[in-house]
This record gives sequence, structure tokens and C-alpha cells, in this order.
Amino acid sequence: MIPATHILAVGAALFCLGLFALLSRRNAVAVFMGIELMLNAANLNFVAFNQARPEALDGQVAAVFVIMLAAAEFAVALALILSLHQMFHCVHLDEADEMKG
Amino acid sequence: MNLTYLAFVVMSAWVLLAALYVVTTRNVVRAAYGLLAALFGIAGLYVIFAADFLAAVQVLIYVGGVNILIIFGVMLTEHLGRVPFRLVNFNLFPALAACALVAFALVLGVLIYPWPESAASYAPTSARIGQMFLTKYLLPFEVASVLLLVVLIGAVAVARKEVRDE
Repeated sequence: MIPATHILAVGAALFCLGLFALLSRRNAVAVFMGIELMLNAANLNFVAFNQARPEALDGQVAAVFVIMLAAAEFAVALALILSLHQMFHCVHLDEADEMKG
Repeated sequence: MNLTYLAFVVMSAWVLLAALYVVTTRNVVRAAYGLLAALFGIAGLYVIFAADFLAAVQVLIYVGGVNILIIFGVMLTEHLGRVPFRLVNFNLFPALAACALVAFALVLGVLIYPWPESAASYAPTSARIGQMFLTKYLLPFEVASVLLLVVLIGAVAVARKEVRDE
């Protein structure tokens, strides 16, 4: 049997790796890879908590919703990245520094 | 140490190494394929935790959908003529400091709080999850469908080329 703290530790490590990518990457696509890692870490925690009450399954349903939201979020993100690319001809987040359309 | 725990350790090491490669590599295409490996490893973790439906959804949506979109994003935004596919990490020390703080808080939380012990059962989950979607979680399920439609239209509206007549 796997102790819950070990699963939570793996989730915490994965979350911190994703946070590092989110904070330190310059390329917008690489930043979104970090966000995907963080969402997966959160999902891992949902499944870990679900294991405490395996007859309920609420954690797994929540994880399915998170996966759905991640897909929707990345579809919008890809559209934004493409329009950023049209406007600035690169996807470096520190160069896209004006709000004018 | 039983076999389940051994599989968990191996799969966790796989996921964490792949994630470390994603956040440190200098090539954005390699980062995308490293993410592919990490997402597959998480599907393996779900199998170990007896979440069979979730493992299938992870492979279908994350590996088959989101990761393909990420590779599309890489290919559409990188200039093949210039120095291609370079990634840099900037703000290295502030980012590391912030990550260390968050890691400290998370580890403290994991260690201090008495988490309930897991009592995994190895029963199939798909049918019960489907029933929960249509009974207890009916409203979030319908809201999610509307949200997906809105996202579909919004993504097309944002990404298309502007054709203003001025």
C-alpha cells in the first residue's frame, strides 16, 4: 500500500518544477508546459485524496474536470500565442509589453 | 516493500526526471517531447492508483490532445531560418527562491497534517464515474459543455487574422 504522504510529496515536487518553468522561461509555449505540469501535480493530489475514500470517487471526477479545463485553457492559450506571434513576430513574453491592439 | 510500492517509486522517478528535463532543456522541441514522457508517466501513476478511467482520459486528452497542440504551437511560432528552437531560463535566482519557498510550504503541509491513510480498492471506476456525471455532478457537466463551446468559438475568433477594412 502506498502511503498518502509519498504521493503528495511527488505532487509537490512536480508542482515546484512546473512553477520554476512558469517563472523562468521566456518562451510562451514553454511557460504553458510549466502550467500543464502544475495542473498534473494538482490532479495527482486529487487522486491521492480519493484513495482515502475509494467508494466515493469524488476526487477522480474533480480530476476529470481539471483535465477538461486544461484542454480548454490550452486551446485559448494557443490562439493567444498565435496572435502574439502575428503582432510581435516572436513569442518572448518580456518583449510583448504594450497593451495597444 | 511490496511490488505496488516499487512500481510507484519507479513511475514517480520517471515522471520527475521527465519534468526536470522539460524545465531545464535548451531546445523547445525536446521540451515538448519530454512533456509527452511526463504525461505518459502520470497516466502510469493513475493505473497504479487504480484510477483506470482517469488513466485513459489522461492518454486521450493530455497525450493525444494537449501535447499535440503544444507541438503545433512550437512549430507555428518558431522561425526555422533564424537560430531555431532556443530556450533560455532567465530570472534564474528569483525563480529558484520562489520555488524553494513554495516547496518548503508544501513539504511542511505534507508532513504536519495527518493525512488519511489510503485504502485502495481495485474495482473498475468508469461506470460509476459516468453515473456521477449524470446525477451528482450534472450541473458542472453541463456548464463544462457550454464552456467548451465558448472556448471553441473564442479560440477561433482570437486566432484568425484581422480583416478590417480601413
